[in-house]
Amino acid sequence: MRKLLISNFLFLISLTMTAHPGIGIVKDSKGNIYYTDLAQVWKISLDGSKTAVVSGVHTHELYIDELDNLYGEHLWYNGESQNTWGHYLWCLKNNGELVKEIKSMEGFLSNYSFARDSLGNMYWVERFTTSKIMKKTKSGEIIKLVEGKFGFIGWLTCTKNGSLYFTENNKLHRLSPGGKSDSYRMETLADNIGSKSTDFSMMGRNYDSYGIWIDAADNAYLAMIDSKKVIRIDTDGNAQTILTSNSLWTVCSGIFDNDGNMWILENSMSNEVRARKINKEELGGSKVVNDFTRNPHLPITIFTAAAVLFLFFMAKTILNKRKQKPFHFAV
Amino acid sequence: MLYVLSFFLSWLSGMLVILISAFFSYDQFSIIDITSFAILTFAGFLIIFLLIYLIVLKTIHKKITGSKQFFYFPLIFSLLANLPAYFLIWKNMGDLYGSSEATLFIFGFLTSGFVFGIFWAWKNKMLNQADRV
Repeated sequence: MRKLLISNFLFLISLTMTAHPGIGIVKDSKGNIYYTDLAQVWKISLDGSKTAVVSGVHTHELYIDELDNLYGEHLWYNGESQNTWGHYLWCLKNNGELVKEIKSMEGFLSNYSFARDSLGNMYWVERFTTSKIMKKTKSGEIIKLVEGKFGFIGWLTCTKNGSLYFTENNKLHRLSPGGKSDSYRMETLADNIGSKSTDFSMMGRNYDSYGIWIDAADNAYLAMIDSKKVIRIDTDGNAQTILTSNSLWTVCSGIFDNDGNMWILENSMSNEVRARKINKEELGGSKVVNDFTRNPHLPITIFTAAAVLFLFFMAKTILNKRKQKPFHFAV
Repeated sequence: MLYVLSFFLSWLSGMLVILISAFFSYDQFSIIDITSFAILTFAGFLIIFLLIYLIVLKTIHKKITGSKQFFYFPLIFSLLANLPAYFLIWKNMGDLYGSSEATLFIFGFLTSGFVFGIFWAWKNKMLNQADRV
């Protein structure tokens, strides 16, 4: 019975913790923000209004090109009897027309990526015992950029000039194009960026960092999905916590709008998704947006200590009353 | 009433030690962590309390008397009576949680047993004083 209760409890936790949140949040040339909640794609207009622009699509990533065409996929599971996955690729044209770029197929997207540079080159990771980072040029040529025995490689982020940022366990790497067309230089920008967390929080994962986004000054921002914070890693590799979520929401990804404000994509314990704007003033300088009171650990500890004291005095009062009675029964 | 009080006082004391230790063990201790520790220690301590603590208490309270209770009660409850809990914590380590979590569970049960033992020694002392008066 006890094992059953524990199993049920851990299963319920694992339902929320092993979920695979999306990282798709992009902006168009006018500054409108688009994000995925894994069921539909939302648009937040400049006036703050929110509308669903693509419905019924399960996409973790989004890409928007220079002409404001929005790309995403729809991924689905065919049930345990078939135990197969299917997908198609959609594009919301800048004129509002929704078209299928790649028709419905079995399996996952292959040789395709939403991590692209301004020239339209695609980049993706092939994770295996020996992992590879691949590039597909606009002409369709596929090139292997790097190959090696990496730890777990997370989401790949590509800048307009083709620099790739990715995390390997708790290290942040940058793969930058060299002088020649097919030469790339890999450097580790920061290591030990993870936090020490319990196995309950880290269930099913061996990493902390999730989505990566870059600002205009080439600082990298990492959503630390377990420690529920955003860290900024400057070009010298110095890490600084700039934002902390509360316990119910976890930052998964982010983007900067045209005014320098940061939009973060957050996922809740019950798998709800929201996009939130953090004004640039809150991110500037050395001001750290780290509200310690949002961390439940300290208030719950204080409350527990108070409860222990209360119970102690309650017991003392009861015993004192019993002392005054002529008869009592010891244990 | 005192049994219920001693149960909650002991369990909450164990939980308090886990919460305080977590400040030194982890960078982040979320609501999921706190809930996980709270439910698992509560369920575990409730079973041990009903199946072991009450029986052991009934057995030893007449054999160990006077101020000796302040030494032996916490020792017996925190070490001997908790043995099944320690065994289960060790057995499930790696499957349900890691070594850091196991250490915190052990701290929690050690404290709960210690507080339970001290509580009943203190209670007996207070009522014995009343008897003498």
